[in-house]
Amino acid sequence: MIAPPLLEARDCTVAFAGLRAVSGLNLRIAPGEVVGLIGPNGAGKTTVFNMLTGIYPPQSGEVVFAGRSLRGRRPAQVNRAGIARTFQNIRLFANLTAYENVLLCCHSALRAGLAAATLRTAAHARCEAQARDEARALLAELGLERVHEVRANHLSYGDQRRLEIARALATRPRLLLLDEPTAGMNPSEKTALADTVDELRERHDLTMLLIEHDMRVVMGVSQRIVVMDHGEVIAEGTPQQVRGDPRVIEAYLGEDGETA
Amino acid sequence: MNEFLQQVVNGIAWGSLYALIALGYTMVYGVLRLINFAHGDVYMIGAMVAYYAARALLAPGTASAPAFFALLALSMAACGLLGFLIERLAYRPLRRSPKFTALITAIGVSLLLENGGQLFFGPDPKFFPQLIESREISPGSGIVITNVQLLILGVSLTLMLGLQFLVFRTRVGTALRAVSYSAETASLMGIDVDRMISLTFVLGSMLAGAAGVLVGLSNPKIEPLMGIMPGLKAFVAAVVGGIGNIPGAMAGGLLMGLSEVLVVGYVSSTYRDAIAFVILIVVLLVRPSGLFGTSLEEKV
Amino acid sequence: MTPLARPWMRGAGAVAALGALAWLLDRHLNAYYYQVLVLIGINVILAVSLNLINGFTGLFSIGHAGFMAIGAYAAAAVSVYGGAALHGTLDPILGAAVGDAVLLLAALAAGAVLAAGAGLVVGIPALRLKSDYLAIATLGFGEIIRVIILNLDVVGGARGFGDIPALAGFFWVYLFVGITLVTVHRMVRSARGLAFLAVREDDLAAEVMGIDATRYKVTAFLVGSFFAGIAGGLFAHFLTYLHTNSFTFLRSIEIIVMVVLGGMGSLTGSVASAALLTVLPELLRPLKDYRMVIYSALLIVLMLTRPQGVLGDRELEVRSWLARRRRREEAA
Repeated sequence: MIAPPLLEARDCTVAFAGLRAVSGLNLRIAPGEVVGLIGPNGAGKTTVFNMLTGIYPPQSGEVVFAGRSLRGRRPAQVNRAGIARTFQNIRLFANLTAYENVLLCCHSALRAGLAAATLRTAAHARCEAQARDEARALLAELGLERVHEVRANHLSYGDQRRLEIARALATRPRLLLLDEPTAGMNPSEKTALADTVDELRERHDLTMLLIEHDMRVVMGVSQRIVVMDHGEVIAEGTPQQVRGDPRVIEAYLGEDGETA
Repeated sequence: MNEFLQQVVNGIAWGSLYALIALGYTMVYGVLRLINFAHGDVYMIGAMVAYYAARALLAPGTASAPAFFALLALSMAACGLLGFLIERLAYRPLRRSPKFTALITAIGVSLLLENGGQLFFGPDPKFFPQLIESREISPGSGIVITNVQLLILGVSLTLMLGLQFLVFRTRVGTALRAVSYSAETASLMGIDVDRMISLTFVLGSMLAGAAGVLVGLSNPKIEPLMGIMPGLKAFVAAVVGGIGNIPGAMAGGLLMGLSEVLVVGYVSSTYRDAIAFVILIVVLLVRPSGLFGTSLEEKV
Repeated sequence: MTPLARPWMRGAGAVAALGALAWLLDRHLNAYYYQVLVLIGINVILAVSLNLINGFTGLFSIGHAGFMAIGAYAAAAVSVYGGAALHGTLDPILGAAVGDAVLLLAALAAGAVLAAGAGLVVGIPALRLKSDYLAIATLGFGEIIRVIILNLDVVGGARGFGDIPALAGFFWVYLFVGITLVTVHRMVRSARGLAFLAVREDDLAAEVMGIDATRYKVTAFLVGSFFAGIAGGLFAHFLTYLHTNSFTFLRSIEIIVMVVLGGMGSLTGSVASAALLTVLPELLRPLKDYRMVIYSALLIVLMLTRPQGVLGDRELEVRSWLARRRRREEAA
């Protein structure tokens, strides 16, 4: 028996002013799977992320997560349902510290609301303490313990990318979407991050979808690769299968010559 | 019916003044994304310059059309210079600062002009000299139009068409529009962005100066705080028309003038200052980008 | 554990100390200084409550005077029209002093709730708008409120609203200064309250991280306008006379200037700048006509030289300053 997919996109289309950024997309991700999403620039990869997270809901088709349709859900609700993401063009809370960035996203710990915080109830104190522990643990996991009190915009590029991951994990997702997690990193940082991604997946029982331009990283980390071009899926399969697919090679060579 | 048409005529004349001021707001917002709160006070300075110049240069009773046009040119020049200085001294150093910093500075400049005006001109109202003798013209069916109203309308229209020509039909105008699309790209294309921004302030302030002189013809009581309300309402006109959009500012100005005159005529003069804001809120809720504006999707 | 360590005891101690101080000031401080002191307190409440909206949540509201006006007029209406009835029933049982306190609290509550309601009515639709448009909408709202009050005969209309009982003095004003500060501080400095700052920094990213940005924006508006309403009610019962001229667009601007000067997102900054900007015009009084010119020139110079405000979003903290100094001394 095949396990039901954790995420399924059924024939989804997102268009801007009539221009189709994503067209008739079908995507199934099984629990525990790591899927790489690749394709030339402008292929619609980030739009897929925006669609899955509820920023641009699909105009037609449907996204189903853990058996429930995400239709009509706003981004915050999608996140609470269990999907978190990072941003390609880093969108941390720039003037907050690394620690605060993570802390404020520890939703499951922070059940007591603002009223409890204002009244300083005992429940609030417990929640706060638990959230603080969680945030510290996550920062340590991503090797950010040295920079707790540093403002996000003062962090190095690599640390910002790692903080994006820590922040996403704080929301306790089941599915984590990583948008070019190694962009701007040097080769040794990239290797380290690929290892971290593996570890995180196991420790947090994650399913992952990642957009990545570095073929070494994406082929190494992913069990399955989905290739997009012009808003459509043009190939799908194991890293080996995709590597040899003539359509994939053509899509890359035909666009900007970025090779696998 | 005749009374209604009469109100419409008055509203259009009044609205064309709002439109002139609104253009300055909309142009500055177009290039800097800044609400230039001091703009209404530039309009006040325009009226004051004309008032003092008329007193100094014209012997009483020698008012004439050429004198009026000379004063108009003088006021426009003075306000253009003022706009240039405001941008240069107060706004340019803050070009890269957070938005609200520039906004507070704009408010500071506005307060400075108002309070400075009270200090130098005195807080009491002054009476603008009668440059043009008011005559009534009846095009029939009982409606009365004065030659002053026609003059206001004529001058405003000429200036607005001039601006429209400058912005859409000349090289400088193309550069201006390029800057308002993207200052960064424009500068890469070799456009001197600083000069274009200065020019925007100069042009906008000249139009406000003209409005200041024109208002002196129809409502001769002028005082240093006269710019606050018309400034706010002209700004509302710019937003209602779609901020950054030149024809929108003209339409918005006319809408403000008309609605205000109609409210005074048919409801109550005490609600005169509220109607502009009611229209504003309705437009913002129904069509946030304004009647003629285009909305921009945020890039994620 | 020392007895004062229990929070409610600390609170009671603070109120008692405030009461004693108020008792002294009521008797011995000259009327002019007393008035300045009370107005500082009212401005602190306004600045801190606006800081929650503008500074911490990053919503550009320039209609704070509108909420203050609603609070002022509603509270005044309660005590003017309901005062006699309430005193008639309460005074024989509890005495006039308690009657006064109950009346004031009832009036303030009415004003604050009405202002908060207005905050909700404005907030929910207006929050769909982005920065500048929101600013303009709140400005428009403030002006509409003013014109409506101007046309309400029952609160005096253009004549102004007089004969409001003088119920609020140093004690009540500073009691609410304390309540406002503690409330806003606890909200924004809790882990959950960091969400306000997250919304300010990037509302879309916050949304994607599971934070209901709209809820936080509406909460900021609600709480901010609630305390603006309190400030209005205190203002009414201190000055005993209201006129819509006190609640123009310029009043909103003054409050914004306090927030920006002190630092968007700094509570202590708001307190300090509210005090400074209340005292400054008084100090400049000998300069007569030049006063406001200097005030506005100072504002421009300040923005040009220190655009983040004096404190940015840091807080003035005696404790951390002492700790830093100790560390430095130990290092030396």
